[in-house]
Amino acid sequence: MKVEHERALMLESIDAEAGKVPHRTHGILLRATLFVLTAIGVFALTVLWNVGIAGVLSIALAEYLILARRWWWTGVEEALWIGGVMSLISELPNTGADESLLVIAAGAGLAGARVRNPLFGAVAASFVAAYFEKRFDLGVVTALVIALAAAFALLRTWRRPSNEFLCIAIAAILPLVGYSQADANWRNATIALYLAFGLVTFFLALRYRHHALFLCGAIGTGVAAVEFARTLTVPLEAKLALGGAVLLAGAWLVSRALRDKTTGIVSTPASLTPFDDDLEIAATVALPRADFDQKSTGGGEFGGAGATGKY
Amino acid sequence: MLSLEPEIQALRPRLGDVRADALIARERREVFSVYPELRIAGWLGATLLAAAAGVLLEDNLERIGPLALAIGIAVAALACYAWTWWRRRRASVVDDYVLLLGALLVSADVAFVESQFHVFGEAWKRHLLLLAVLHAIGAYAYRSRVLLSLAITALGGYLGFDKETGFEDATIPAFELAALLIAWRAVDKRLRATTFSRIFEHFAANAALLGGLSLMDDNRIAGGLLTIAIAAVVIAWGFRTKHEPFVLYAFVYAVIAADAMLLDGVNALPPAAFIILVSMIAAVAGLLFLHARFKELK
Repeated sequence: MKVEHERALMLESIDAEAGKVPHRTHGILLRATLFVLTAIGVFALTVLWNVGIAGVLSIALAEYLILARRWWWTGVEEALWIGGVMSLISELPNTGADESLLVIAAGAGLAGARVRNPLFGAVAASFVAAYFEKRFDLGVVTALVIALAAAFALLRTWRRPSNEFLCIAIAAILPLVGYSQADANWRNATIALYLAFGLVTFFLALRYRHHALFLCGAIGTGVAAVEFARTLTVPLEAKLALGGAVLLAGAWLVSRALRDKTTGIVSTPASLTPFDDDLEIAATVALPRADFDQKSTGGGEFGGAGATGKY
Repeated sequence: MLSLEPEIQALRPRLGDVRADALIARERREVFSVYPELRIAGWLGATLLAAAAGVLLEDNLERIGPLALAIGIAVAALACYAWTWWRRRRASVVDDYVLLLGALLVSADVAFVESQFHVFGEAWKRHLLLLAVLHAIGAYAYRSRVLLSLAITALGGYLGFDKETGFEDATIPAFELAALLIAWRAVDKRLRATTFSRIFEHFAANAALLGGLSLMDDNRIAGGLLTIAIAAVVIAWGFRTKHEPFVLYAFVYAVIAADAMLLDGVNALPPAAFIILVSMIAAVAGLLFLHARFKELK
């Protein structure tokens, strides 16, 4: 898809006419649904047929859809590409070498570059971090360095929206990937690294006003705070209460400070996605809820909306 | 950074100066709203505080005593409701999360009181009905969709449609919940005309569809056909109300039901893979067809 078409798609919510492009594209919900359905289909094909042939067939079909039918960001061609590439990689002889992680990274990167899917790019970067963890025990550092590079790359003005989305995906996902590889023996280093990452990205967020950088800052400082809390010998409820109070009071103070502002950083209603309200309701409903056992007379299990317990 | 300023400038004649200027100010970051960040911080803060209350109730029973704990949490919850009510004319984004915190504390406290004092005795599940009523009153008093979702979840728990119930036992409670929500929506629409209709519809649709899938555990064919029939109704409702998410998830439920019926009794991997492959091709084609019809409608 040409740069101008990618940019035109970003205008769809502002002006439907300006958002028209000569490609079939889908919104995020339909795209995700079609991706999952197609990925299951590709997997079934690899079970039925020779995995290598299934991989080639998937990529060929994806290319047909992209080039002849002008499908782009529909979910279908993306699943066919990543499914096809991963099928072909699975056909390679397995030597058990650490470098196999780099092969998977290259595969995800290739698929991501072809269909310009930012999540595939983030998956590729995650496998690079996993390789450095396995080979040199440097997974956390690698993940944070890549994430920081992506955060700084966000300061550049990109013509292609998909480049911007790739930087956002890498900057937000890689710190979490790195955290999954963090070792308890290196807790102090983890705290220092994540705090530094969080503070730098928070500074950039305030200076350059970017939502993704605020998210990176929250992830960095959040991980540092969680790890720091593990080192404290105070009751769990005190840690949770302190964290909750800081967040709630902090949000209230910021909203109060920005109350009458109309320029610069403001707190007027805005949304990140069309589903902000629905996501909030879904997250609230998913909280642990009433789990009550009346059989026990001297107590029992209880719970309720964000608070469960046994005693 | 991404800036669509050149495109917006080009659209200025169509958008008008006021709208174009506002959009350009946003692109230049001359106006940058941290409203989403404040919402996330508020929500996380409220849920962390509620989790702290849960651990407090769990770990300090003997040290503080059940009555003092129950009263303490109740006072905190009341304070949250009072704060939000007091500030309702100059509410900020964070006040919604103080209200949510109050509701979560009420949930924890009511469950705790029931576990300690056995107010409802053998009918202990009624504490969930009480919670549903309290949250529903809160939802209408504060016009809060989040509190309404808590009320519906508590009602589901009272009926036996919750995470603790085995999926195979969820059929009747799921259909009861769906029926109650449809009735509640009708009354709400007639008497109050709130913005709650969509919440009722989504919860009712999902409850009914899950009920259908749950029935498949007892009767694969009847459950599967019922799920597909309910999915067809939900899809039709999605078309009628021009709300595509109904169409999408109802279709996915229907695909799951159809596949479960087709795979029933198939033990070998190749035929199972063949059925899944064909059904996925059909599902993708069907979804694209529905989406095309939906776009025409819009």
